[in-house]
Amino acid sequence: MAPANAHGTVNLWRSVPCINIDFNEFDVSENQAGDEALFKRFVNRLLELPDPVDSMVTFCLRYSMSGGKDGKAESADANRWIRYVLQEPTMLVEVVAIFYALELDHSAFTSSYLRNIRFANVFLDKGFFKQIQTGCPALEDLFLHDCIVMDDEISFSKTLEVLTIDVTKFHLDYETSISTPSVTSLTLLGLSQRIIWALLSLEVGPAGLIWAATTSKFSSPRSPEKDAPTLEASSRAPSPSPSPPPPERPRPPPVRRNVSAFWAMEPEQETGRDRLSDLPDDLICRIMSFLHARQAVRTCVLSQRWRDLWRSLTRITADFCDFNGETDTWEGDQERFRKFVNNLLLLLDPVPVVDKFWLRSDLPLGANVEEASADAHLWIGHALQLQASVVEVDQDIQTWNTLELGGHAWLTGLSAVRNLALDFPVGVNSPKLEKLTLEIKKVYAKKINGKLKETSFTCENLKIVEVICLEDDPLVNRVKKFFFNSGMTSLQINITYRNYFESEVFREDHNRTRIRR
Amino acid sequence: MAAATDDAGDSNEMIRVVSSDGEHFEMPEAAANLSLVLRHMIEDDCADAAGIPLAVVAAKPLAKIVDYCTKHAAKSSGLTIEEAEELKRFDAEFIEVDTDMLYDLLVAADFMGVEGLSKLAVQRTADLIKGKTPEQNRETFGIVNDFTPEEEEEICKENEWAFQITKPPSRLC
Repeated sequence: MAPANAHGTVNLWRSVPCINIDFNEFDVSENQAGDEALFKRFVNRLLELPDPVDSMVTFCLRYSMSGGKDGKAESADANRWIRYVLQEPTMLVEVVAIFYALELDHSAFTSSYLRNIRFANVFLDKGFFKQIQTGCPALEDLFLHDCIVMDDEISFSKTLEVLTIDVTKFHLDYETSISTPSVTSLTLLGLSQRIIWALLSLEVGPAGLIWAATTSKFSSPRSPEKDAPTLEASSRAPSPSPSPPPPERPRPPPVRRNVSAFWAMEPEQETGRDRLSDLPDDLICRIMSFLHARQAVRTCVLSQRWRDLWRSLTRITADFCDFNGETDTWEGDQERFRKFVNNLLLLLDPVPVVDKFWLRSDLPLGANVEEASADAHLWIGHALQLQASVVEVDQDIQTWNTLELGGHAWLTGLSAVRNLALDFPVGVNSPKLEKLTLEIKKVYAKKINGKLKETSFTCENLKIVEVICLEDDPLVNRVKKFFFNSGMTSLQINITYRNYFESEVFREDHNRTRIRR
Repeated sequence: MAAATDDAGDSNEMIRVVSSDGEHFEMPEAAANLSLVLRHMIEDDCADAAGIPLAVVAAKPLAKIVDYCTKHAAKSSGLTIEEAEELKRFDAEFIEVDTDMLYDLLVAADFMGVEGLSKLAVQRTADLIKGKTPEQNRETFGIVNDFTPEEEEEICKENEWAFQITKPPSRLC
């Protein structure tokens, strides 16, 4: 409050580096017009004195205009003052318009000193951002609170480091975009979601720190707050004390490295808010891993946030059953399924390591077994390239033919796999394999006769074989014999009788009704 | 409050934890050990009478978590089939919560490193998503569709291989 204190002192005030003029201190006469006249005279005198404050560093103006029809004319005084201080080496300009928005004349913004602009309740017309981009080459910090922006292209020079846009309205007709190549802190608060999404062409600097929150309070343009600025001229005489609270300094933004967890939580959580999308990426991906791959991919249409999340799936469950009956023929279904798995494996992010690849296909009598087998082989190979550590292949075996697929699905190149679970005996060639799990179903036990000997094993590091089966399954003995013959001891063969309660939760899906044809 | 303290034997030390909003809870050490974070704190002798502060877990979810851990710790070793079944029933009932609590549990279990609970909550969330159309999912979780119709169509087209062909892509999703 330098000038207020300076009222009485004689000379000292002339050299204050910070001018802070507040209209509220001029609530002295009986009406607004009288106060305004006094205030204007004060500012005019202050700024236009022959011995100007040559070392002025900051200029803060808190001003209330009467709400005349012509906003531009009403704003003329304030614009003149701003023009004046910008001719000084001012580094910070703060303008707070009380009640009626100030229509800023942006042509004044040419200053190579200006580093910091803070506006509250200011109307920024088209061209403002272009002007400060070219006219204020040293600008580092821009703070807008409760402003109205009529500009569509918001781009900043490389010096801008801190950008704060708080409860600000953007013109609905423009597709506003913000481009801030070097910003290190970006704060968007209290903007309607529509606006934020519109701003998503946002280009931020590499080390961008983004902090954004939405409040439903401002999301509806039809329910403006009492103190919200309005451009319409009002005949209601403004009361002398409707001063909105001064713009709060932005809280230091909490560090959020995960830009995709973009919507910060509001302090009080409304029920029904989309808190699912607020969860961090890795949690969402875990949730998606419990879905069949097809459903997981389909989450892409939920919202922008979900668009590409499925690409980081780490557990792939590719199930023919999801495609069963989609077309009129098995061939049609199979073609859809093939297309799906092919696309899925190709489009997944190569970065996250796949934990588990689970595949179930279904081959009816007379199907082209070789082709299906080749597909399965290809997919498994691809999953292994994604460094899948667990591969499970569950063929829906009902006929002799489908068992053939087992014979064909010769697993090679399992170099990273340490833990392989199959639900039928299959040829395996995996030098690093340490643990093999076979889940045997009684249903095809009779038909497997003799098949096992034909499949050979080259797994020199195999240490444990786990066989999961029903208690009275005669196949178990054959399997045991086979591994004994391959040089394993009974200690290494672990027979687990299927325990319903310990089975993995999503196995429930596997156990649903078998496909019948 | 501190749930099912009666499950714990007298010799078992009680561990105190404090929620983000300052409420105190107690559970047997065996129960606290189900949380990786708490286990490490206990191992490092950070569990004292004042209680271990859990800055990001509010009282409501914490009460549930204490409940879960106490139940599971009491029944951890040598399960009979009946007990396993009972525990399964407990879990099923336990996770029948509204979506708000579910998010709290997801975040809290993840933070505290309670593996079983985390899996349970993740599974429950996945179950809620499963078999629903995107529109139904948006409704369940309050997800706002912020795509323009054109964008939505484009995405459906792009990922056409995951959608059904029988219906127009933008409808079905």
